[in-house]
Amino acid sequence: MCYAALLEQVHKRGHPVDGLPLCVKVNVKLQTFQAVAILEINWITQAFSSDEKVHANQSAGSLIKDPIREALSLLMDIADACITSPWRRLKSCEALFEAVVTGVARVSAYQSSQMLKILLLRFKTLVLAICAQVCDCKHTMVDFFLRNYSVQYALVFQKPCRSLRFASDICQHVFVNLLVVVCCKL
Amino acid sequence: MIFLQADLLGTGPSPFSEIIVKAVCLLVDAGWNSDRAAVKSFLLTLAAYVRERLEQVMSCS
Repeated sequence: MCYAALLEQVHKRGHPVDGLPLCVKVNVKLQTFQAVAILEINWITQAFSSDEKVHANQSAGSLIKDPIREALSLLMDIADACITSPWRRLKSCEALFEAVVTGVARVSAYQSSQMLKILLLRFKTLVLAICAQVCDCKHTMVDFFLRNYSVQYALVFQKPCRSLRFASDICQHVFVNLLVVVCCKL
Repeated sequence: MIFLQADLLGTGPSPFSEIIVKAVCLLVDAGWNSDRAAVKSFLLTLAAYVRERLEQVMSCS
């Protein structure tokens, strides 16, 4: 309902740009997913606290375990999707990712050892994916930088290194660091 | 491609990295008491990845 009202509002203003309604749509969807994810995490927390209350009843505990396992893996799927999504630059996408990841990490305190291992595995792939993204970004920057300014800047960086007579590995290290720093500032 | 690079150049490191660092801290904190071995192996795998990556970068330069 909120979504329809927003779209109508955008339509009434008569924005001729095609991108805006799509952006609004995606934003509303992402915010809805975030709300649902928060509800889901609250449900998991409540399920665990009620599970501890009826700890004597083993069947109740095992009944609730499978849905929780499924819910957690679905939540981690959302986090994976957030990273690879083309909409990942949106603030709402970041907020969704933060809600999901923080919620799952918080809930993991109640998990069994097996579930904790699965969660650690999922988190590891997430961390590696994010690292790869950041490294790729830096590498493309370095490549871009080297392709365009290789001659001038290589001289600028190498000359002081040579004249100061650093050990070669330290010199390389400093050079790479400088390159990355300069690329980041560009 | 150029547009993509310009976009990446304009922004700093990915905001996802900050979020995931906080979340991993929470996760390690939560898992430390229940299953210390799993958390340790998780951290060691990440450390191994970092070392490998560093060697790659150093050999490239």
